[in-house]
Amino acid sequence: MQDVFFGQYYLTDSIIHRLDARLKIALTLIFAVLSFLIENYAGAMYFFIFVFFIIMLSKVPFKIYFKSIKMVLLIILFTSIMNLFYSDGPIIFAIGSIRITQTGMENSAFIALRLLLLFFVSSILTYTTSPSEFTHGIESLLRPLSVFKVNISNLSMMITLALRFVPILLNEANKISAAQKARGAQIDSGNLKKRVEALGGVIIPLFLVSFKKANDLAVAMESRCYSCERNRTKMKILKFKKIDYSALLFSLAVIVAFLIFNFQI
Amino acid sequence: MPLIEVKELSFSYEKSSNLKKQDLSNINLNINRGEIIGLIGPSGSGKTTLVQQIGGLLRPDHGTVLFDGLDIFKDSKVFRKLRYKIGLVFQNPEEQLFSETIFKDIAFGPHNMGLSRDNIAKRVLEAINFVGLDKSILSKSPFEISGGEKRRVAIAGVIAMRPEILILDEPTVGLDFEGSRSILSYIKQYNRENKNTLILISHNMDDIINLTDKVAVMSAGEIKAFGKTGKIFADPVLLHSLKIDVPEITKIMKKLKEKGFNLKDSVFTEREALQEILRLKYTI
Repeated sequence: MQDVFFGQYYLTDSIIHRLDARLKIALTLIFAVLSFLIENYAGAMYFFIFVFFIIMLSKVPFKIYFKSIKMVLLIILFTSIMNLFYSDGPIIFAIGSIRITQTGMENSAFIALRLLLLFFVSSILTYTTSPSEFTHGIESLLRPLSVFKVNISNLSMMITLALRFVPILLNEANKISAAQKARGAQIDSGNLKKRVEALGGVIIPLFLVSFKKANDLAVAMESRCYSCERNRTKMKILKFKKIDYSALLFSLAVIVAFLIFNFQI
Repeated sequence: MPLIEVKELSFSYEKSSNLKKQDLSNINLNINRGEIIGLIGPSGSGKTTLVQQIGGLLRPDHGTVLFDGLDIFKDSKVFRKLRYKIGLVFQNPEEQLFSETIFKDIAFGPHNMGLSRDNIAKRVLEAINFVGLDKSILSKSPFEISGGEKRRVAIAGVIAMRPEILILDEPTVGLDFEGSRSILSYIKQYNRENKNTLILISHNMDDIINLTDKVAVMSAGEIKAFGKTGKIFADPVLLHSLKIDVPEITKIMKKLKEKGFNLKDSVFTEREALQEILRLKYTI
């Protein structure tokens, strides 16, 4: 477990950081869907160029992205290898009942590319949007749901707290596992049985700590008169600015160009 | 040969935007067998990071940590043997308790060492005795005892490994006066009986003065001063420049001196203060 991890906010002074969170969330969702509509390599190429352009704009070092890619690489490899075996089409070679087909190869390549794009697009969102902006954005985007008597501010508070607790718990997990290692627990060495044994020494205390912290936080919030029934006002009110409109226009142009490009060629 | 020899050690955390931890640069430190070393410095000056390197939990970027002349990071076989000789008690160690019974929790370290059942039981009893708890507590769950008792159990869990050097990271923080005094007196007794080496991280200067032979002062990831406790605290320029706090009794005696009483400049313990006041009484 490292200090920098997937989904953590990384502060720089870029344009992307300044964009309205609602816009970023909506665009991320759209681009995530679009990445699954990619039909050919040219489309994937086009998409990657766009993503790298945004990464450049975000001023978050490439190093940071590549560090967290390690964690999702396994998932990407797994899904793309699964696709390799489960496709019909002209057989390239076969060993017994395992057949590798041309469509299988193509499918698995595309799955890998799509997941990679998905990873980059969502990383851009989490690196450039602070947890509080993120929840405000979600809250604002979900507001229409309040018609169905869903308590949106409650929901967004839950999301904020969940996100806030990720680094805290990670930090606690590191502390506890260091303490157990100091007593000879074999957390990252030794055989599987020993490791599983040692893991109990981390998970049980972590479980207790998280309950304690959650309880403390609940008490602290209540003692400052937090209530989910009342309507709370916002310190930062989300409002579309000039750069948001221009970013929106630019993205729309990119999307339209992609759609034409993708389905005509 | 010193027991612990830290040579030109430097270490940096991976940079991220949120978590700020102090990097270490060019640390040199020699600790002799049987010494009690105090490690002081403001919060975030790298004390915990340094003891984690000495305990072999964080690998330094440059430099070495020698235990009895052996490089603890050189190869994992050597380290596996040394690990149990370096006992590390973390901040709020009570948070690491996890077994069903206190006995099992204290036995965790000795069990990992691969000791026999009898030997483990012997060590658990010895350890619980050292931290001043009754052995009837051993069958209880670690979650049904008080905070102070939990901390003692956690310390016992490290003592049970019979480390040659015991490192305590703020063992008394959050405890009341009685609780912290008794933990420290048990630790002192443990150290005296076993002629053990001890590193104590503390923000409580009374504890540091009362317990330690030498003090290392850290600031911004460096050791700014290292020497005999008496010498370090007798140097007002040093104390001021490194922003080191002084014990409560020193502050009281300084106030009295300012009021015009003819007292010695630096008094660090209650005993010294008593002698000074008595001296004054008989000279008047």
